[in-house]
Amino acid sequence: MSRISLLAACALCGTAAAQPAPTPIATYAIVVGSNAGGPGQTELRYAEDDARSVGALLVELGGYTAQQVDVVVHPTPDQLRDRLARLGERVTADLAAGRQSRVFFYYSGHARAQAIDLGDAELPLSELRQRLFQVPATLTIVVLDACQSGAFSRIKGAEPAADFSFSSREHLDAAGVAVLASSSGSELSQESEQLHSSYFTHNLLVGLRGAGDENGDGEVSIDEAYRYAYHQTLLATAETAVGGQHVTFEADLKGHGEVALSFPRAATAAIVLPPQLEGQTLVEDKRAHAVIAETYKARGAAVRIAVAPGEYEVIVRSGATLSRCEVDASGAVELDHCRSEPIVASTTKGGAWLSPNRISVGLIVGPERQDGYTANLQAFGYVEQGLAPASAGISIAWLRRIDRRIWVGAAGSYVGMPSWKETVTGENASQKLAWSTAALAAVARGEQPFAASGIASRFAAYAQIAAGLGIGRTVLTNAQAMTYDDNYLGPAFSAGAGLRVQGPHLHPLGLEAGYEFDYAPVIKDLIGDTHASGGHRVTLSLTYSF
Amino acid sequence: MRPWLYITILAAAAGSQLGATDCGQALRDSGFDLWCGDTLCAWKVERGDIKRVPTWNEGDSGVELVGSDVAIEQLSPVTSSDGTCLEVDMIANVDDDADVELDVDISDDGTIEHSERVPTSHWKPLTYQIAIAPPFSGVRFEIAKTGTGTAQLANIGAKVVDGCGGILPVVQGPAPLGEPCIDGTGCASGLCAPSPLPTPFDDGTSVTQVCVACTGDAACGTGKACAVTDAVSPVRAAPVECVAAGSKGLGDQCSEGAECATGICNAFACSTCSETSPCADGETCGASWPTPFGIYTAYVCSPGGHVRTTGEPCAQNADCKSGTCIATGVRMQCDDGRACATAADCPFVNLQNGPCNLVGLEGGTCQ
Repeated sequence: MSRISLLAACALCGTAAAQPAPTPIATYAIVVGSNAGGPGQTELRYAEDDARSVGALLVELGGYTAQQVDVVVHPTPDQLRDRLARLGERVTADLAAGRQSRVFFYYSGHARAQAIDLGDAELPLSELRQRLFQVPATLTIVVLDACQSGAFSRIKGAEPAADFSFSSREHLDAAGVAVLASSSGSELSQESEQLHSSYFTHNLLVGLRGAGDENGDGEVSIDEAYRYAYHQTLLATAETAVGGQHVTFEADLKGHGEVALSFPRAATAAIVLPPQLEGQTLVEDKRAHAVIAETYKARGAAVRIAVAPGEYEVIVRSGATLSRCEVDASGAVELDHCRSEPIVASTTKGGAWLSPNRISVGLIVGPERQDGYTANLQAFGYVEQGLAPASAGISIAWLRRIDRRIWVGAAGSYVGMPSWKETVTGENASQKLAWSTAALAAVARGEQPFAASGIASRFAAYAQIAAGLGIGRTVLTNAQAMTYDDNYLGPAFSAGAGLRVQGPHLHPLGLEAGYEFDYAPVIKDLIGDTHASGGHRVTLSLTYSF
Repeated sequence: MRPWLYITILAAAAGSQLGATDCGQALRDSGFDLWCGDTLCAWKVERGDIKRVPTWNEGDSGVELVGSDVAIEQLSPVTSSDGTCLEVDMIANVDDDADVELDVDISDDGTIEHSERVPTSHWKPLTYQIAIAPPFSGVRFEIAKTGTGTAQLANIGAKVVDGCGGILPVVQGPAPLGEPCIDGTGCASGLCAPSPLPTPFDDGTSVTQVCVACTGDAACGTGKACAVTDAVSPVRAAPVECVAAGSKGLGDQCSEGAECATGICNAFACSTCSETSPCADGETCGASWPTPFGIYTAYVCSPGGHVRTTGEPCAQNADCKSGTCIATGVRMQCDDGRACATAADCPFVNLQNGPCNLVGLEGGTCQ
């Protein structure tokens, strides 16, 4: 399935007019968001918020009145059918009255190849297309935000096999129809916990607020919005585990000329990023502690971002420096009053990755290492028990991503080793040694995905090392049933490598299989030998990323 | 009992004693793990003192030979039927100032036929191989220490292995009575003959020859009989030697009637009746005490029937009309019929001595 955020923007108020002034052309927008997924789908976190944001922006900057924007959150298929039917009636009435109409349709949520998912129910795409086509609008703009994958980000869909965006476009492609899709056919769309939005919708909104106004005419056309959203979304998603997400756009707008989606020039307030400012730039609403816009600002031209009146701060990251700049009453960024500070590693690393944490629970199995200690056991008449004696245990690890390929963290393990038994000759008695080793260690791991995107990106090879504290325990039960329990401390080391696969549909679960060599010289005997617990091990782990 | 029945019973009884070793292991508690208080359960302290010490682990005990003249020993039931090559594994902690020797006494006659010196060692495994010329029955292992240094032993295992790779076999001295033999040249007595009774080393398929002092009453002279006498070692057969005719009391082990005061030997025990000497007056001849296979017990008339009168021999109080059988003591014997005082006198099964059982009264006379 794929998340579709159909942003159908009702045609813009069309004209290249400078103001969103009353127009003889009727404008309508249906903005739909649904976090709920169908069976097996992870619930989205920001689809409904995105819909609300799009609806608000249409009113704020798109020239719509609140009555013209119908924000529909978490609808059932019947509710959506009803909204579309009512829209059709209104446009038909307008047409009968000799007025042209423009329709903007936006959808953000889960979708499958053949349907959009509205919670447990589905609305077939064919039906959605049919109902949209039945609306006799002069111009219809459809925006699809279809999320198809996301290893570290929340995802909005999961079936890369079919390209909803593309197929929808094929069906909707007609005179007066434009389709903006959040990703290409083979890609999955992603949400960002940092942005509290999907990458695509966030960048589309930032572009509509003025950041996408390339020609500086105070309006953001659909072409400008697309180009801005394309570059910024690709830039923002390039380093995620899912890989770059390419926004697509196709339109047949013959006769309509330049179609403006927003009019940031009409905003009552704006922040102006000066020409000399360069770097990754965030506009933060200081009262709401929310990021209003994130964009890469290139040197050379001013960028005007329309905002609601309020108090803002602009944060610019350039190289190893983070600058916090005040915004004056006119909206200009006061570069002379920026507070600069070095980027601390944790901020850079921790904030740069989606789902940067991973926990894993695994099984360990392998033959126990033989050494002087075990040779002593043999010499004293003990025999290792079991047909194929093997050590086995469990491991638990927490890792945090600090770089594109580097993870660090901590791990704990408990391994029970094969018992040893000495039979007292001529007696129905024996002596038995049960032993185990636990370890607490710091872990460093390098991980290399097999590809940047696509199915192969879900597979990765890894290598890791660990060092820490080993805790050994021996329990000897002698021939007279007396028990001697001893504990030992010492260093513990481990090195290994393996393969990792992320779960299907970008589920946060993953699976790892590998080899490791453990070495923990911990357990000592009374005659001078130490057993280095460990040896060659096979590991199998289940992971959860968050 | 008929002779053929005896043969069958003896074969079964002998077969039941097979497997004196424990899967080839010839010594019990080779790891010194079993302690009865301050002494070893399975080893005998011959001289000096010992103490329990930890070895590789606090809970796995070894034995320290304390003092300058100490020896511990254990008699192994291993025979040449088990094998003629013994591999001895040892783990020891022996100081320079301690002289430790492993001594081997074949057939438990008190003669040390072979000694190995245990070198200075700190818990390093040592292995010896000892080949012993057949036939033999039983080996007494003795570990002796002299000197003031520390000598601690953690393990000494003796295992029968297939071959000793050309090691010159140890030949025991002239074999004592009851020791297996091929011919008389190996016997101190110069005589080698089939044992009249089962031996601890019988394999159940053939009659074993043992060193004997006589081969017939004629060789013993007038008034004497060639008879089995009390065994002196659990690993050897009861000796066959000349005894005074009619010197054995009711219930004593016998091979023929001449040995017994009653003149009747039935089921290898001196008896008062048999098939050829039936009871009078319609009394039945039966075992005086229940034993395995109904052998090695005196057969008497009306056992437990309260019919014996004053002065008649008895094996239990119930034999006497008076209800009282005055005896010189209780009769204790091993499963093979030999007299015993404790289990240590009885042949081995799986490295352990067989039981020493109460089988009635000895030298009893009805009151």
